[in-house]
Amino acid sequence: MKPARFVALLLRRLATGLITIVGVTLVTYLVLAELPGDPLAALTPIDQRMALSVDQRAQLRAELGLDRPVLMRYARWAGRLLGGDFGRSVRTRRPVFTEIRRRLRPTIELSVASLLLVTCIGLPLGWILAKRAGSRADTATSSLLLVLYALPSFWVAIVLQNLLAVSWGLLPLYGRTPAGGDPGLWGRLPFLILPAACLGLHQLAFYTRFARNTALDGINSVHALFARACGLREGRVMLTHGVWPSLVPLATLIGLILPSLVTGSILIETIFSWPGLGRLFYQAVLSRDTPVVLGMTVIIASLTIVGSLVSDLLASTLDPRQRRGKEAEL
Amino acid sequence: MTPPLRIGGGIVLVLLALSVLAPWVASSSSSFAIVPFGPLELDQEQILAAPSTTHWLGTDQVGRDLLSRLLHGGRQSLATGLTATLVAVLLAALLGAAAGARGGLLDTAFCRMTDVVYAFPVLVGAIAMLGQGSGEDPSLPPSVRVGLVIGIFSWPVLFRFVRSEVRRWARSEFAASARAVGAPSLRLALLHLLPAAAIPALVPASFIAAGSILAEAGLGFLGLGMQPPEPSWGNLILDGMKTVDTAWWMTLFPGLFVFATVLAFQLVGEGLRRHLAR
Repeated sequence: MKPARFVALLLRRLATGLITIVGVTLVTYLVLAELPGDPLAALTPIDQRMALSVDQRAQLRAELGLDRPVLMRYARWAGRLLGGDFGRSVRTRRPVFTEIRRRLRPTIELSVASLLLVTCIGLPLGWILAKRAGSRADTATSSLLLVLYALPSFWVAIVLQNLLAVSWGLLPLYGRTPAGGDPGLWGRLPFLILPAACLGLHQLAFYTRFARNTALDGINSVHALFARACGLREGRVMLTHGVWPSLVPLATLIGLILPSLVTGSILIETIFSWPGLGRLFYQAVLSRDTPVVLGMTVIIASLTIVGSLVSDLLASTLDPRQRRGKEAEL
Repeated sequence: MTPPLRIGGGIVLVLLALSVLAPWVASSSSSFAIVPFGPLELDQEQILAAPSTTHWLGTDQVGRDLLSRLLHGGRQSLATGLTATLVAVLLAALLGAAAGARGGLLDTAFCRMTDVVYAFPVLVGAIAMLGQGSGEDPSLPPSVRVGLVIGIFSWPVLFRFVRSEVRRWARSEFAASARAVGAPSLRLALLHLLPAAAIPALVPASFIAAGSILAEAGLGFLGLGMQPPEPSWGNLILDGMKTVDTAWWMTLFPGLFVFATVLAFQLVGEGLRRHLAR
């Protein structure tokens, strides 16, 4: 792809992404602002709210800008957002941005650990299965993966938590750090194992199947046959036609599962009391903390959009064959 | 019929039958009862009893029979899952057929709209909506309400599938013949293109059903689905977690029911895919 075309493509994708984000925030704003319930209810304790006179209520509404039309309120909120101001949490009174930043590190830690587990186990396993395609071990493992994919990961989390942490005492029960203080990444590692494994459960099944099928297509291809005819050793054929091509679609998949690592963790973070973004979102919804819910929505939607953009770009960079098709499609 | 389709379809049918018949199969007042306990009946003598010949899967904190609760809970969970799938299929079919057949500005608008919905993972959207308005709108049964919310967030994948299928068939000869005899575009889209896309679309639809069951279980577990004392698989898992250290059956069996259902729907999808690929 010529650089000029690439830049044009990138700009177009960014523009549609921006439109999507505007749409997402607008829908969320309208839903959260207009659906049942008095916004004042979340802002004032129940005993004070009852005591408010009609005039006081009107004054409070005016102060909060609630007397204006909802679209104007949205415009004001979006304008502030552009300046990096997410508003303040109703529950904790801290800026939403601070709340999110405090939870970012634990979530990234958990996501990266889970991705590492998934790739380090899933990819090699997939390659081995491709190498032994059709064998009994392959059939057995493939069925096992299908089973894995149907397990509710939060249920597995409860079961494993009870077995490994409660009954056998091998791993910590919940939390991110020991009670006595933060011992650094190494000390936190035992706390990370279970949540990361449960979070990556479905991805592991997905990745392994994917790696197996792409690698299998590769080593059964005409190119691989030709390479063997030229006298290349089987290991070399596997590397260039099996392992390498299977990395391309997998690299792009990472972009696509980016948001699900944050959202999938709502359940896992709840079970393991992990202080991450998933729990922040869930607590905010329960306590009707609209600014935090809105802020989180923006972040999740942006992650989805950025993720798919990154994966498309990676695909066309790594795999020349995809470029023509993609250009035509976009 | 490929083996996965047969096995998956069999499990789905059995579960559906058991759930539909739950008020008769699991009841103390019915003569057909296999499980002679209602889902809300308390047995003070048998609190947190382990599985036995009287209570096959044990009892809960207040002595209710777990199997009976699971069968009645299955009614709710399957109703939620099927409502969600139905909503997703309807939305995806209509919007997808319109976008694929018409093209142009309408297509672009629908695709952008799909992007917006797609940006919300199902659980996030459902948590936000149910958490904000939980307990409201008593006109709908809770299982249908939860299903609606899940469906609203799970149609985009199917929309893209239907749209591309319809676009493919729009170039086919039978579409050209229909146009040649003067079929209006609405008729072409609904009676010619959509049916052609319908059978292949069953594959993603059954995966949506599987995902909806999982989503319902997750929402129930977070306390956002069916409200106790009415059982659903999700809130039974939540119940189980509270007593997981003393009563393993309370956690194990609800999870297994969810797992079996999800697996069955996935098998149906996988089996259909293989069947169609032949």
